Amino acid sequence: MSFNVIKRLIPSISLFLFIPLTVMAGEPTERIRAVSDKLISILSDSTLLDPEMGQKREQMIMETVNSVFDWEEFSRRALARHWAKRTDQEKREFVSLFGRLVKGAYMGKTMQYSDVSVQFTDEKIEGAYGRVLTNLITSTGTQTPVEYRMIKKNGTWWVYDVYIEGVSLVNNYRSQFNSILARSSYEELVKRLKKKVDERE
Amino acid sequence: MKKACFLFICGVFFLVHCPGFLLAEETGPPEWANDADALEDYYELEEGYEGISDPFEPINRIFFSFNDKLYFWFLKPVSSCYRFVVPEPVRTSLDNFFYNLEFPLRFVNCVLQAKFEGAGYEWGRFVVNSTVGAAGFFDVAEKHLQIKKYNEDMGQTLGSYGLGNGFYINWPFLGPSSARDTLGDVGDYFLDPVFYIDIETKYSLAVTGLEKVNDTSLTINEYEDLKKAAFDPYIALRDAYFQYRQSKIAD
Repeated sequence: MSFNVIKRLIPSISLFLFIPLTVMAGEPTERIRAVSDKLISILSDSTLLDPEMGQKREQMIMETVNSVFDWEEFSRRALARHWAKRTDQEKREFVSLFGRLVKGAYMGKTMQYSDVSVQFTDEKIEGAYGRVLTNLITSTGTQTPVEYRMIKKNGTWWVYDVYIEGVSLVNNYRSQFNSILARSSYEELVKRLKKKVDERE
Repeated sequence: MKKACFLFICGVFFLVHCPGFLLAEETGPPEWANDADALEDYYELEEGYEGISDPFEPINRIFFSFNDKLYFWFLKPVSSCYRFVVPEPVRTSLDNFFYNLEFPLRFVNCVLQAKFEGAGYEWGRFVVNSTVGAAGFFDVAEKHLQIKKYNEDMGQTLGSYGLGNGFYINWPFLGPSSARDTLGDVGDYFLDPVFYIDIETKYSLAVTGLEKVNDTSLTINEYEDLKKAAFDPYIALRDAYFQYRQSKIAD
């Protein structure tokens, strides 16, 4: 009898013990954690390192990244005041080009990152905006602070900017786009963007 | 010594003659903040993001391409050979040694910014690494005692006192900097113990060269990565420098 009570008690106690832990790490952190776990499993999968599997590996990485990165938010913020002036067609084209530019730039690096771990250091949520602070630790022990800026849309958290060592990706691209837009036109920007993406792919 | 004086005079000259640039950074909200979309964004508003002023862009761009060629034609090949010959643990140890040597610089700047905890950590690191860590070749403090680095410099100290960047300078050989950070570097130069060691110029240049090559051998491809990801590498580097320094001053 008493044994049965204990048997039933243990799961309920452990439930109480674990609930606060899962609450502490909020939704944005959990979302990043799920995606980075998946990404690390792809990166450390030795069967995918075969050159023949290169394309499949790349596709898997892309899909994983796309499942949490909101490229439209990235583009909107990078173009800032120039975004509103664009037609829907132009916006779609820009989102696709910008996404390819960023992904292409970091895809090459993934080969070096087969042995990394992610440490979650902090999380801040204010309304529909969230920040997830992490530390990227390589096998040699180098630590890089990486912060994800997120926005909640229809109940799902999406990444709209990444800060690496305090440097915002969106702000960095915005200053580059602005410098071109100040000198020439949007058409010229798209032309150069296309050239850059094409020469890499 | 001559170099230091020259940099100092340049710094003072620029700071005195260009007060407008010093103020430019903090005035008013960013122009795109009028955008209805941008206004919704709490974090963007919070930061009031604006770049660094760059009145000497044409000259800076010339120095940027000079440094670019210097890297690809000289620094990278030399560092690659060095990397091939010298094993990684040796290079890391040498890096630790140079870092440990610059302890007075970080300690003084921690104190000047009233970061007494940081000053204490730096003191602890120096004592542990100089003794147990064999004259600084091994970073025992971080590896076994988890005493983290407080890499403070004079540029950050001046920034924490409220001095703006001034304007961007892309020095030949030395790379990205600002009027304020150049002034800071001159101050730091006198806090570096190497400055007080009485050796011939050619030897001190050799030591500086070794430090640079060793450092590059450990961070090889980082510059290429930046260039690859960039749309306009000059602007990308300028902005990354600005943002990085801002975040270092804010912490």
